[in-house]
Amino acid sequence: MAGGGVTGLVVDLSVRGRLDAAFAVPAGAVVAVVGPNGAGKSTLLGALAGALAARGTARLGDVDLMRLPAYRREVGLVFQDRRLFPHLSALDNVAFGLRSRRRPRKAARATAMEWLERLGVAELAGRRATDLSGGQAQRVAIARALVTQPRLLLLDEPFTGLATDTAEALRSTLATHLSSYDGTTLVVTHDDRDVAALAERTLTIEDGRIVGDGGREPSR
Amino acid sequence: MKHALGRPPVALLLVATLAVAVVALPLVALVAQAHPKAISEALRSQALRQAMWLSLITSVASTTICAVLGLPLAWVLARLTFPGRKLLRALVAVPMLMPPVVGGVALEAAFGRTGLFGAPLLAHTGFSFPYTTWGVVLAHVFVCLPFVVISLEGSLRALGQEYDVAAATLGASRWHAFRRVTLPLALPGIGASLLLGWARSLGEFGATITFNGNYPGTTQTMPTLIYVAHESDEQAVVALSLIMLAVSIGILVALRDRWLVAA
Repeated sequence: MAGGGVTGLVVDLSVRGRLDAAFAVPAGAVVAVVGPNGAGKSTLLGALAGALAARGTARLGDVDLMRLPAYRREVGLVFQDRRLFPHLSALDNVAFGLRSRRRPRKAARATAMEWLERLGVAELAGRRATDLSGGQAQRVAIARALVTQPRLLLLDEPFTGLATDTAEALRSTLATHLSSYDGTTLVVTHDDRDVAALAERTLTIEDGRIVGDGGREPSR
Repeated sequence: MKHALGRPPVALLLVATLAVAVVALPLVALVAQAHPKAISEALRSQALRQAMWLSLITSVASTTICAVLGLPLAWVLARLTFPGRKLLRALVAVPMLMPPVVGGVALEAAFGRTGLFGAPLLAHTGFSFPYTTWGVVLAHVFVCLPFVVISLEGSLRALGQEYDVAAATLGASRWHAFRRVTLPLALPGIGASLLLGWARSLGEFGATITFNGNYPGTTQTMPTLIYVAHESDEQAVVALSLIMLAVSIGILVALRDRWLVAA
């Protein structure tokens, strides 16, 4: 089940009153999802991750995600509000997905530590999630989503609320990582800099529908 | 004190003062009536010690049972949507609203020696609840469980589902999410709910005395001892009452963040 392989994403989903979208993304692609507030961008990610109920199909390789409960989908979601577990340390937040898959604690923590290092926040491993700054929390949240090597990575406005230089640094860390990631990535964003730095293609959503599908520049 | 909206109406202040008096005067009188020497003598009486011990054991046992039974039910009410959920919650809440004496009568109908379940239980095992310490625990659980469940449900709802969703996207089954995320995050609320249940259990009188009588050493708890001692030994009653008042104040202090701070 885990990581990598040729697993393109073919989506035809609807969430009543909020989303009615069909599109396909080849394996390994990084696609920006843009559009006005309330257009259905986060709804799309939530539906794919299983965070909310949706109708239709979302084939990732030969698996229809919609037929699986959220915890079996192997989809990594970085929430707009990070949503780190406040009672756990940064390290245990990252190890959580591995522990859920019954990896022994020691091995899970060792792997989690490697990911904190990759995201440049290894020194914060022991710190409580509630004691992290916005930028630090976002790095931990990204490490947490990636540690299980999901086949589909969903990032919901990953740099929102961060200071410009913090966002810039994190953007380049993420770009480096995504270039070597062989799963498919959708990035919801409002920021053209994210599109330029990360994505090779842009989907534009308005009123729950795909109204533009093009190259790097958001089609407006 | 400045009043941007004008002076508060005197009539409201007067009635509010009266309300404080209604609550406070009996408590003040209780403390004023106590003679330390007589109380220390009363505290040495065997009946009182037995009742205190029994109250402690039965309240701790019933609170533990309420935790084990109440948490899953509260989770079901807070996290699942199914037809009849509101009805189920209403059913759970009923013992909270009815007179405890009626609860005792209902327990007798169910688990009494000739009760619906009590009769076959007695026939098959030779065991019956009424007039035993087990009967006291059963009565306490019956009375306290609704308080615990409704309070726990409130805590779980206040926590929201966001972290459950995050856990699920990280591959956690609902059981794993419950154990590793919901439970630890809800711990303060769980503690407060159980303390509330324990306080209710410690003060339980009506259902206990109706279902179990009032036998020293087996079914006589602090409140039921106060009831019989009220006729004869005034200082023992005051001593017992002061102990229970002190416990109540202790609980209030422990829960001050929840109850002493207006939302």
